[in-house]
Amino acid sequence: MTNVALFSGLPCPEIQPGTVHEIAGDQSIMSFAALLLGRTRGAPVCWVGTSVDLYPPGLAGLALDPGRLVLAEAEREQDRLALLETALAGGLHAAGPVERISRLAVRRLALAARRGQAVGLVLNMGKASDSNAFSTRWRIGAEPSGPDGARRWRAELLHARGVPPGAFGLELGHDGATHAFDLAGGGIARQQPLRRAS
Amino acid sequence: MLSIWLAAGLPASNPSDAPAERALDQLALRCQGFTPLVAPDPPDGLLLDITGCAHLFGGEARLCARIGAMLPGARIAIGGTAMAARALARHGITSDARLDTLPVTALGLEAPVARRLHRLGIRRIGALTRLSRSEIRAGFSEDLLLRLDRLHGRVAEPLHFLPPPAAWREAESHHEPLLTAEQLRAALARLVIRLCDRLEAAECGLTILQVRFRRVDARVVGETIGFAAPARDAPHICRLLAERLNRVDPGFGVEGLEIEGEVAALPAGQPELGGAFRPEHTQTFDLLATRARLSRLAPVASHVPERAMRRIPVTEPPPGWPPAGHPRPVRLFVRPERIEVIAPVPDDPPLLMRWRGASHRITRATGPERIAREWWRHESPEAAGRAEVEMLRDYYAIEDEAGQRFWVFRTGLHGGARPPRWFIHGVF
Repeated sequence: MTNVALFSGLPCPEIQPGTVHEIAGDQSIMSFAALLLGRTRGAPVCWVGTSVDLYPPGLAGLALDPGRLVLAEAEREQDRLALLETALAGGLHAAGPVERISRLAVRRLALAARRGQAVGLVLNMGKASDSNAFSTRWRIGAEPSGPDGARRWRAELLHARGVPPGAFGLELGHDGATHAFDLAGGGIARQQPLRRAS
Repeated sequence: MLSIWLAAGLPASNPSDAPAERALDQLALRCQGFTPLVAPDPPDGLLLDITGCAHLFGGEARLCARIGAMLPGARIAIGGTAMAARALARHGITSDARLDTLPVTALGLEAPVARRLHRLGIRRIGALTRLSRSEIRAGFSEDLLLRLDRLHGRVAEPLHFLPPPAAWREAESHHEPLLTAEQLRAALARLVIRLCDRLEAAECGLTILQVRFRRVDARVVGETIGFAAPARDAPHICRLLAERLNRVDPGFGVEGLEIEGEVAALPAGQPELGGAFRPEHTQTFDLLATRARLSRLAPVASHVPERAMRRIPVTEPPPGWPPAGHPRPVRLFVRPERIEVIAPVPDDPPLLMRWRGASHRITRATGPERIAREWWRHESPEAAGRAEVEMLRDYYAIEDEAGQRFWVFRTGLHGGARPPRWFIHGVF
């Protein structure tokens, strides 16, 4: 049902249903997360935040149907974590910015996601966490566009089970239907192995 | 307040019933057809709060006539307070203005007090009212003062109104106050299961559930739960209530609980087999709604970006959005933020932008996309006097050296009365 065929052709793991991922980085993580959630199918997408200012036409441009979106707004961080957990356990894909997340909280989210077979994204605008309870951890940054104006990201895979970490350049394809990523710069997959995040 | 005094005694009731009270309650229930607030006034009277109800029956006089036709032999009077209405009905006077001429016994005094007043020559309420409060308090009991205050509406009189007929209500009372969360949860579960059994028989589901705890210190605390779809699944409802129970302060104990719901039709059986439409994930939405404000975003046909969406309750079906057209940001700020830019005149995109203390050198831009104001909408007063060109917006999607993308706009044109201003409205 849920299938994220996003990184086909990339030497990094696919995002499987029933997993939780961390995406850290600058403001461009929002669009990156929308792009990932747009690849999920079926269940609604629950976006958790204090006051969500997502703009539906922009999401539609990243192939995430805004009709699937359910906004859940709460002031306290512990409430937002509980919301993420409830949504994932109930089978909703869920994403939301979280400032501080404990190892235990990540583990709870992972169990909830496995129960609901949903994809969870924890967005972190600050420093990336070091919890290995996430299935994958990414650091995302904006990169100048390609010559034809295609949008580019710099994606660092900080942690994934069974896969060595690495850094990739990702480009948003122009075929609006699939939004497949290409490797920027003519397909240099792994530019350099990363040092462990200190 | 309207008082009915059954001068001829209560109508004969079934002798096996508890005699007088039962008949009075029956009469009170019948009078709920006139107003929802009916209080039995034992031994042989009824009080009806007719505030805002009389006009439904063609005025107070015609309302009295209708009640009189229903209860032949009853004396009916309308007064400003319950005490006044009661006194007027007992003495066959219908006008509030002649309250002073009533004998003091109309206040329902005890015999010794009434005798003392009579001895002192205070026969009418008017004479009593002329005495000062301190004189009454010194010469008589506090009780007389209280009755006088109630007569004139200075103090509210507690009345035992019959509960309005609520179909979906369950209640429990306890002699020993409940204190712990486990006790409250168990009591609530009992009530919920009873209610759900009744709902199942009636093929209904709850849309709103109100819970009220009557505490021993005479306060009522409560919680209200809304449902994303009609529900009558007792374990699910108990779980929602348990989440909310944390917010309820039981104080020194809870001696009574009641739950009351509003219902909608929920057919029994399997909706999959051609039954009614049932939205999915409603139980998850209910759980989320105990902690958060839930909403969906629905499109609005407007080309002004911030008006192109509105929030709808999650209970509504998912809205259909048109496919993406022009480039639009992922986040749209609620209020556009002022930015400082360096841009070639007259209408080129910016070269340098300063936003939130950081400078961005712009390397790439698309635009302008011109969006005019909606002239058919009422504008705020300070905007009404401005020129039309100052309300134009030219939007640009720009990208800085690092690859970050912003959605900015310029209002006004060069050469206008005011210099153009730049705002950032969203980020990609």
